[in-house]
Amino acid sequence: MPFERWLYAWRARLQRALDRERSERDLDEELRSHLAQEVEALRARGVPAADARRQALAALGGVESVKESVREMRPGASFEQVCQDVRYGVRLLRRNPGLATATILTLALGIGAATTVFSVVDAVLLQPPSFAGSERIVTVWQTDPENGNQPADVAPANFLDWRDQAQSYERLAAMEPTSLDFMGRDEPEVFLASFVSEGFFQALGVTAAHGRTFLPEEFARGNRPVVVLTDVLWRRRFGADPDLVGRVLRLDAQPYTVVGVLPPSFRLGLASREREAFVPKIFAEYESYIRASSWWQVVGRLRPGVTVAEAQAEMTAIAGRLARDHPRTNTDVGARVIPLHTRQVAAVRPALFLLAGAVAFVLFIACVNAAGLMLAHNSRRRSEFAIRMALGGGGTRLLRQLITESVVIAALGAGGGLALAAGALDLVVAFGPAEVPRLQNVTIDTRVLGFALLLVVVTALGCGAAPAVRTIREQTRAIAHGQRSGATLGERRLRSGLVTAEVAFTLVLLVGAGLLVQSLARLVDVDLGFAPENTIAMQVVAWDRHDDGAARANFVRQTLREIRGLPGIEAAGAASSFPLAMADFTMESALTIPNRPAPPPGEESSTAVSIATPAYRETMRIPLRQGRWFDDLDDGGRPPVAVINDVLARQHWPDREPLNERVSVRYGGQAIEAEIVGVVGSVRPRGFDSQPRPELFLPHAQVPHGEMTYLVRTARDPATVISAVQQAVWSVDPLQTFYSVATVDQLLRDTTATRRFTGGLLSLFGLMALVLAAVGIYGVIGEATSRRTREIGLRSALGARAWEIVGMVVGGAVRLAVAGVALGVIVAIGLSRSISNLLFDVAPTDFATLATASLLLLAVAVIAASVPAWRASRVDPVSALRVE
Amino acid sequence: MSKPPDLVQGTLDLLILKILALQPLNGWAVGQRLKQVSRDVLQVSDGSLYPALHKLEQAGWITSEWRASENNRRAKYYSLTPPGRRQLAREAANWERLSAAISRVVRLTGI
Repeated sequence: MPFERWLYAWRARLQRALDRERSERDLDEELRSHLAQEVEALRARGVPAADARRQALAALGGVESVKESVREMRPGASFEQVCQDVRYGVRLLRRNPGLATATILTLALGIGAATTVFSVVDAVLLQPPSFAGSERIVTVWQTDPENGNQPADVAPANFLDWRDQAQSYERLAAMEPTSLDFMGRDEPEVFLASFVSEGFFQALGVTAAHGRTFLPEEFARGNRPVVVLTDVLWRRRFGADPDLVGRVLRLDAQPYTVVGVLPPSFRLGLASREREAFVPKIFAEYESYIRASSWWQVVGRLRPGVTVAEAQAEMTAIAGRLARDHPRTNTDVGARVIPLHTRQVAAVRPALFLLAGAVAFVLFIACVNAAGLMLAHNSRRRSEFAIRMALGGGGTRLLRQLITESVVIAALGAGGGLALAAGALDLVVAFGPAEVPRLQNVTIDTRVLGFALLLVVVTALGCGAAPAVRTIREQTRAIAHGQRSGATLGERRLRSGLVTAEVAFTLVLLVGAGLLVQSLARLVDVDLGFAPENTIAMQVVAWDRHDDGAARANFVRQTLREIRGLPGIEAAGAASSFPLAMADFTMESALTIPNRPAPPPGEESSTAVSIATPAYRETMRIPLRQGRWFDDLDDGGRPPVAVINDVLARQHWPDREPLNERVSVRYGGQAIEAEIVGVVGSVRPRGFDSQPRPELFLPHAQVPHGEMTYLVRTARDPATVISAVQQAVWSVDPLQTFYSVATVDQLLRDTTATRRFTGGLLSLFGLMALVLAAVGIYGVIGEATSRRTREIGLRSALGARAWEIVGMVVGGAVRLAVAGVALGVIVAIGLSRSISNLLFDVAPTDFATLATASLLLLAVAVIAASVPAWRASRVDPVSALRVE
Repeated sequence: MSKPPDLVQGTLDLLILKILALQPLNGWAVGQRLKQVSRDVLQVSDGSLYPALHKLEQAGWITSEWRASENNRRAKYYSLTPPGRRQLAREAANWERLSAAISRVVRLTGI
């Protein structure tokens, strides 16, 4: 129906449907007006008043009969019937509260789970980032066969070449992570910051909410330092002071002018910790040589009309040229263009897709159960349908009523589901992993409501229409063939088939959950290279309060001594680099070996450089492989020494001992040449699934670094000693503050947050599916058993034992479950590829997992069947045979 | 609503639409005009007129409104909606085609 006509038609129908009395009054008045006019006309022709009225009525053919035919003529009568059906459906549900509650709860579970996951998927994956023209914003990464060609940070010289050669971008800009020490009025603090090259904010399409971003001249050497703050930092540290722009802050002991504050929506989403401050990147001469170390991140804005594929092709060509020109560093090094949004969600996308798939299964299982309940409901109403059809009620009319009833149920289920989802979302937002971008934005909005509405339609059709059609077809046949009422063979087969599918899907969910849980268990079992238990990690920034190197060395030594003096402390040490902590102070340096030929500048191999105290190794329980660790004598009065880890040792001294060799690294713009005195084991720097990296340690007494992470091993629960440890530091310097304090266990847990979140949710879904499947099996077996009461009575009358009858009933359930399990195993193996990248050290077709899930389901089937079986075994043959 | 209309019913609908296309009228006046224009050949009872009017309204072809009649009596006036006007054009064309075809058949000689 064309829209315009539809509008007129529905206005007329709606008016009547909304106010039936008024439309009746209208009709009444219309006919009265007709009669009056007719009477007037007749009288004008000279008919006497009494006759005129009679003649007019006769011509009309009776007021009531006209009214009746007008009412029948209304095509919108169906709308009124729908209202009638809804009322009837609600009445029926109230008469069957148990069944109604079961069905509605089942659907509420399914719809609630689906809506929750949809809200998260929608906010995280489907909504674009909040940048202007975000579809043109890309990130560009360096790939290296050494780390499996995964997108990784970019070397400075490579970025500079890309920027000079690539034509695909309007802007291409680099970010270099840094930190800025802020000595404020009261507390010193470290801001996570980035140097950004010219065009960074333009590439992202971001303008400042207050003030401005950087001017081109601010990227030139010698200009006054300027800084742009994020909204978060502006609010957190400066109380959203509107006059902050233009003020000067002392950052890294230098005066920086605040030129702008970014809008609240600014969120790059490329790291779990957002950068809070931005300063212009002023390129150093040496950076145009560095290709062997990579620590920059690159964002770009594509020119209008340039596709990601075209940009990728250009970058591949440029990377190929660089590989030819710099074979030592760039052989096989590629460049990868990834849209910003894709990159933001890359880490969580597989997990969210998995959850979306899992929740679709749960919804399906809930629908199947609801459909089974509706079928049972319908088969109990056979006599009602039979009477209605015998009295001439059309099949279509009946079908419409059944579907309306299922819409009512689905709508009530969706209401419950939305309430569940609202509660669940609060939990997700509160406990969801920080790694998931935009998780805080997840709410039930109109899109989510639309989705829930769609689910109502889908579930109503899925769990209502199919059973309804089936019931009516069976009913028609039953009338034709004079069959008795009761669940028909077709209905029973349908229900068995549905339960089989339900079991199959449940198995798939259980297998998925089992695999994830096992992965997690194996992951946290990985040897980290150090002992994380009962340890506190506390980051201290001592640059400004102790600006002289000797004072810093002294401060660290003294505070550690105070901490060790506390009761319950087993060991305490400090190191500059403890990457699990919140601010990553890791330093990278080129490494040269003085008595070997030097590689060309920029092509030196690099290593992580960590400054550590003598007690650090023992506190962390890092194993000593060769030589010795630092001791208290390794101070400024002695020749410089270094300890390397076994990765670095294998890399440079594969066939000889590195002890007594000399190495040179850069620290604070100066070269430090030191003698290797020991080799230690390597640690996994970023948690269980990170790879050990080359690392070189220098003693803090010789290199008094200012950013140190204190590690304190305790004899009891470390959380209880934290404040005592802080007090110990304050006893040396009452004004010293802490950048972050946490237990190492907690920091490690944060690295597995997404895995635990996914595994936990999938386990929850698996459990829901298991309960629903149990209910489904119970329904089918219970129904089958009560149908066979006579047969069972006959059997026991003929001498069957109770256990034989129990076996018969349970056997039925096991047959269903076995069929479902077999189907489920096939589906699970078919889907194994989709989960494999979320697993750790477990094959997606792991036999033990498949077997355990299968046995669990079979056990649940037996338990679900045991109640009907027990009831069947107690059937009294005499009364059973008298039934009907 | 796309099923082929019953010939008589469809004809009555067409006539009503045509009459209302000239001016908005109340139910009684539509009946009078019908008798008048068909010179009493089409005997449409008042009883069948109202169901037809209401059906056309529910279908969105015509719309109604209460106002005073010529002799100051409140009456329900029907008028064509824009979709109804298009429908009339379609139906009239159909009717022309059909009646021309029937005429040709009726005039056939020599069977």
